[in-house]
Amino acid sequence: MNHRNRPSRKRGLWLAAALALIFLGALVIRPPAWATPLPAAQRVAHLQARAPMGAEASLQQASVDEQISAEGASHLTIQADTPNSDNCIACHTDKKKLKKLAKEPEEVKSEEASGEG
Amino acid sequence: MPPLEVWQKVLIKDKFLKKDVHADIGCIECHGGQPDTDDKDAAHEGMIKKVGADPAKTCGKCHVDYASAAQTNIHRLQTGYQTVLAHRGADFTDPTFATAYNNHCTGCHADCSDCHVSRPTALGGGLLSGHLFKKTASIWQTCGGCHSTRIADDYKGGHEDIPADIHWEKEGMLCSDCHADDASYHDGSHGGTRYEDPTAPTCIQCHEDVKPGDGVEQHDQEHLQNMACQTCHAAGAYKSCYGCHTGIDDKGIKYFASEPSQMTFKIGHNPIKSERHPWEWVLLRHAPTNKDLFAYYGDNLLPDFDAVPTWKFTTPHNVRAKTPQNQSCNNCHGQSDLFLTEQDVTPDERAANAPVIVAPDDIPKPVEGGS
Repeated sequence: MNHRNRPSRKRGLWLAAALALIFLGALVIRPPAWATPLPAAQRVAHLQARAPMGAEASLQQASVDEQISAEGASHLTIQADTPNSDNCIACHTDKKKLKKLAKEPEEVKSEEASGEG
Repeated sequence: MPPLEVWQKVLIKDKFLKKDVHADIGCIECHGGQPDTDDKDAAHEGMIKKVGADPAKTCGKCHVDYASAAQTNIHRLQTGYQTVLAHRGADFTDPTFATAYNNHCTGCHADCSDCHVSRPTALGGGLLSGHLFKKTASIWQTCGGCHSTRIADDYKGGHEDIPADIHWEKEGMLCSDCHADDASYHDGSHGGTRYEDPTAPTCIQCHEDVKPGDGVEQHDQEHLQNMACQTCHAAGAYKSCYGCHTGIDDKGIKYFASEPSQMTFKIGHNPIKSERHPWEWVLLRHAPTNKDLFAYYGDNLLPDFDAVPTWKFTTPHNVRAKTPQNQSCNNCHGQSDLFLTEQDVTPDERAANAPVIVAPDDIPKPVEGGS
C-alpha cells in the first residue's frame, strides 16, 4: 500500500511547489499594494484616508500610530504642520542672489563711544 | 577672527539641509516670515532673526529640559552683572536704573543660538557654518568671540611676550574640556557670579596628585593652602580694563566709553573667600567700571559702590608649569611690583579696594639664601 501511494504524493508535492513558485514570482514582478512598504509619510495619509470610525478603528489607528512613532513620528508631525520654506531655501542657498541682495544693516555707533567692549 | 562677507553670514549650506535634523523643521516654523513670496522685503516681514532669544517658543519645543533651564542661566540673564551691581547698591526696581541697565548692559547676553548656530555680534555676527548646529560651541568663534581679550587672547598666546596656556599649546584642550558640566551653560539653578557656580571646574579635579611631598618644593602645605594655583602658574600679565561711562549722545545713540586697557599682573588678598576659594592670595584684575558708570542717568545710582572691589578675583587662562614668578623663592618674595599696593589704586577707588590691597608689611619677605 505505501509503495503504491508514493508516486502520486510526489506528483502532488511537485505541483504545489510549482504553483507556489509561480505565485511568488508574480509577487516579485508586480507586488500588490498590501505587500509594498509605503514611505512613512504616505502611510499616514493612506491610513487616515480610509480610517474607519469607532472603537475598533481607534485601536487599529493607535497601533499603527505606535509603529509610525517608532519610525519618526515627530518628523512627520512637523512636516505636516510646517509652512513651506522653499522660497527661503531657494534664496539662502543661492550665492549669486545673496551677493546681490544681502545688505549689512547700517551700523549705528556713537562718536562718543571709545575703548574695548 | 576675520568678519564674514554679508552674504556669507546668511548662506545656508547644503550639508545643513541634507544632514541636520533642524532642517526638517523648515525655516518659517522658527523664524516666521512670509512663505508665499520670493520678494526679499516681503518674505522677511515679521521674521524673527534671533530665534534663540525665546528658548521656550523655539528650541524648547524639542529640547524641553535644556530650554527650561536656559531661561535663567547666567549666560542668558547675566546674573553675574546683576549680582555685582546689586552689591553696589543698584535698585533694579527703580525705572531710572532699569533703563540704564537695559540700555547698556544687556547686549552681552547669550542665548541658545549664540553658542550653537551663530557667531557673536562682537565678531560681526552671521551663521557659524551655514546654519549647521554645533553641539559643542566653537572655542574661538563663540566662547572666544565674547570672552575675547580677557580669556581667548590669554589662552592662545595672543599677548606679546606671554606664552599660550599649556592646556591649549600642548593638549589642544577646548573650553568645554574643563567647563564641561558648568551650570553656567544650561542650568539656572545657581545665582550670583560664575565663581559661585558649584559645578565650575577646579584645577585639582585633574591635578589631583598636587599635594605636599609631590616633589615640587613650593607645593608645601603653606603655599597650597594660602595661594590660588594661578598666583604661581599664570605665565604673565593679563588684561585689565578701566573706567566705563555710559550715555546717549545728541543723536540719540547709546554708547559707552572706557579708558585704555593695560596688561597687569597683581597679587592681592582674596575678596571672595569661601570653601571653593579658600586662599588668602589670589590674582586680581581691574574690571571696567567706576563710580560714574551711570551718572548720565542720575546721581548716586550705585550708592554702595565701595562695597565691591574694582580689582576683582580672577583666573587668567595663561597657565604654565614654569612661570617667571615661580622660578625661585625670591622671584616672588620681596617683589613688591607683583602685589597690588595702595599706589596701584586711584584715590577714588581705594575704599572699594581696601579688602584686597596689600600693605607693604604684608608682602612676603625675601627668603634668606633663596635663589
